[in-house]
Amino acid sequence: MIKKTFSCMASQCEVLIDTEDPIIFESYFSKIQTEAYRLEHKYSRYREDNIVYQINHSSGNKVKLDDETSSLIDFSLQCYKMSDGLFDITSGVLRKIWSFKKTDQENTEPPDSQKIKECLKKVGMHRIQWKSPYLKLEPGMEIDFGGIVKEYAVDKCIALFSKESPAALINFGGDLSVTKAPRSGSWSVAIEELFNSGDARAHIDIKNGAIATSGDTYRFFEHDKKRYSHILNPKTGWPVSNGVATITVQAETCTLAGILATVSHLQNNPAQFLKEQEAQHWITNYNRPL
Amino acid sequence: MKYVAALVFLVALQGCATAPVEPWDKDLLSEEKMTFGSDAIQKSYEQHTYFSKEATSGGSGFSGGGCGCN
Amino acid sequence: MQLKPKTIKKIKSSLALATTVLLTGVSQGHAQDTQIADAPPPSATKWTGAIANLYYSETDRVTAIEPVINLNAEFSGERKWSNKLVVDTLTGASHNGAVMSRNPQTFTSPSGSSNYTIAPGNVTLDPTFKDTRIALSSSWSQPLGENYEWSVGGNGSKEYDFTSLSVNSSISKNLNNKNTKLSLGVSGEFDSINPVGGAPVGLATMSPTKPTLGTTESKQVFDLLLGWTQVMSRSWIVQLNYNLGHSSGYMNDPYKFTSEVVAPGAGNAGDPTGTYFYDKRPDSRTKHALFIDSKYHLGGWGIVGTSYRYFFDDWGVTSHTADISYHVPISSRWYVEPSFRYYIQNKADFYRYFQVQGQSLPQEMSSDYRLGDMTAMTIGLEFGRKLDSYGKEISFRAQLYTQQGDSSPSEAYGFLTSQDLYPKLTAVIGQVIYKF
Repeated sequence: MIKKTFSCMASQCEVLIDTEDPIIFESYFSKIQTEAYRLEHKYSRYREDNIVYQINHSSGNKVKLDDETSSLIDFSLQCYKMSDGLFDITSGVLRKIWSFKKTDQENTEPPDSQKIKECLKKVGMHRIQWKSPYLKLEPGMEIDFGGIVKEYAVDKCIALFSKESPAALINFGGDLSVTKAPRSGSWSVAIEELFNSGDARAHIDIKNGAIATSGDTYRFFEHDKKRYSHILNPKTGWPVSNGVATITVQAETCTLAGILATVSHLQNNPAQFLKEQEAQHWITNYNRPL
Repeated sequence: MKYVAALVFLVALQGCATAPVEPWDKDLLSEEKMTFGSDAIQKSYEQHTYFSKEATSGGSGFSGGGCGCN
Repeated sequence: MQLKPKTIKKIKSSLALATTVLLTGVSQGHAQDTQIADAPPPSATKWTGAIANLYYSETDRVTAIEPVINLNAEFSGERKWSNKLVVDTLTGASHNGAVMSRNPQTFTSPSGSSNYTIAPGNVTLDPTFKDTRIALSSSWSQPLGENYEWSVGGNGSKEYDFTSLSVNSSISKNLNNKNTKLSLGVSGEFDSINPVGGAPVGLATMSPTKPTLGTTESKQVFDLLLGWTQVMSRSWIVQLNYNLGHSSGYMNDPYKFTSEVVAPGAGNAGDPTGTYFYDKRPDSRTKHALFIDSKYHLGGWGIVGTSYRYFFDDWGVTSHTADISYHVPISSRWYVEPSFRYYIQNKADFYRYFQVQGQSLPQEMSSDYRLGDMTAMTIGLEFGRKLDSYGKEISFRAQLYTQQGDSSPSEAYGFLTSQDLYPKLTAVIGQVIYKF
């Protein structure tokens, strides 16, 4: 088993391949790195030379998308419909009016309802004009793939392995997937969020499939002694206040696990939602201050 | 007298301006028909016609050159 | 807070299906994606333009057909290159300035080689009027730094007796979160006039061997434009412009003249004497125009556009122009747009209907109906259809233009009182524009 890490998408990226041959490992590792950097370059909202920048600065004009981005838009639209609008890649603009601090700092006041109302006018997949491959946003709207690009990258890298390849585990900042069971029988994975909170269920053994986590124990919004997650509801413009800090979901692919984690986080009762979906899940809550 | 009227009008107009409109509120203003300069072909036809039939010209943009219109 | 638990939809399997489509559907494109991993996004040049035609026809007078081709290229970084080709074909008869009479009148054509006679009671029109004009214009505009935009352009036009070349440039600044735009523009035009038969000496009398100034005359026109565009609210935008213009050089109309009429007291007072004086205007003109334009969006009820222009110059002409249009979408694709324009003008100081025989000639004199007291109205209706949601559109507009002045001014006397000294002008206008 050889393991190597690199930095990408603001995360520690880890690759484990069940082989003793460094040349075989390197050939897979370099392909994984290339693919991860490619997707980071292409879908980062901090760059000015990619399709995301073009879309977000199109001032209401149509933009012609490549096949991959078109597929992502198709997919995002489907998720939007299936989640009743909770999964929405146009909700990124809301982050401009909210500021989420770390635990040891003061939170500012929430933005007033008028400001939220005005910002919400620029949120909503129903406002986009999409006729593949042409995308047209209303001026002021933005597309942010940040909610799925890491999970999507994991799945694209997993696809580099075939049935005959050695078993591999790819972990991009906690969103991970495995190709198949290693020679030792299963992969032992520690879910970081649970691990940090000392939860005994932190270790799990997986033979196939993927895990993705939504939320953050350390970033939240506190107002009137109530803690709000930094996950914003695209319909209300407010962060969720169900007390849930992180949700980890297991599913066949990392993208699917990620969508389920995000959508469930916005439910009033995430545990019940995930139980209905028959998806294995682990939830951590914010500890209420005394 | 005409200059005074124009000045009063300008000041009144300034007073009417409301708070700046945020970029995400410019949905209506971004429509083609809400911009000055849409209908450029139509305007140039009109300018040419009225320049040939009346004594007045100018006021909005530069007409594309003159013509010996009789 | 929910009153009853909503049934949780089982979405996992359909989400799983969607994910499969996403992940497998794209894998074919994977190979080419890795190749272009570091390539910059394609800077798509956006091509737009229009093909249009105008049909203008005055009752018994001039008819013009004017096709236009426009082609624009928008490059990355909001840089735009616009081009336009105009062909203007003019035929028919144009008013020559003479008064109407109860007797036939004979005029020499501009070339001096022929005559034409106007029967009594007919409007004095020169039927030898025929011309084709070709004009080409091109302009370039681009941002300059964070808040400025700059443009430069040139035009050239050529017709049988007239050549024009002009250049213009403007700079504008965006302020106030792009809610205010201030602009400054200048232009210079250089015209070369080569009238048929030569430019007649102003105030000389009409004859086949008219005295001419030489064969080519010139004129220069300079313009300054100050503009202020202001977003007033989410639904309302206003523009205010001031235009200062100065022209100098050959300002006369070489094809127009003033009739000399028999002085009052005679038996045939008011009849034309058969002498006609060629048009003579000052050799410079300074004009001012103040223009305000407004567009108001009524949500689903359409857009109302209104504008007003106040004009005055040193020839004594003052005018008011008011315009209103109402753009109404009548379905997701079709729209209708009625419009109305009202124009009123005060005559130039040197405009006169006729010259009384025996009286001394003034320094400048013109009977060009376009410089007289008049009012004009245009009523129009436009239909348009959007062909796609990216700007492709076709539209049709029909307009009726009427112009009238004082047919019986107080100056009239004798037989002049029974003549229409400012015949009404009526024109139908048809316009087709295809935008892509």
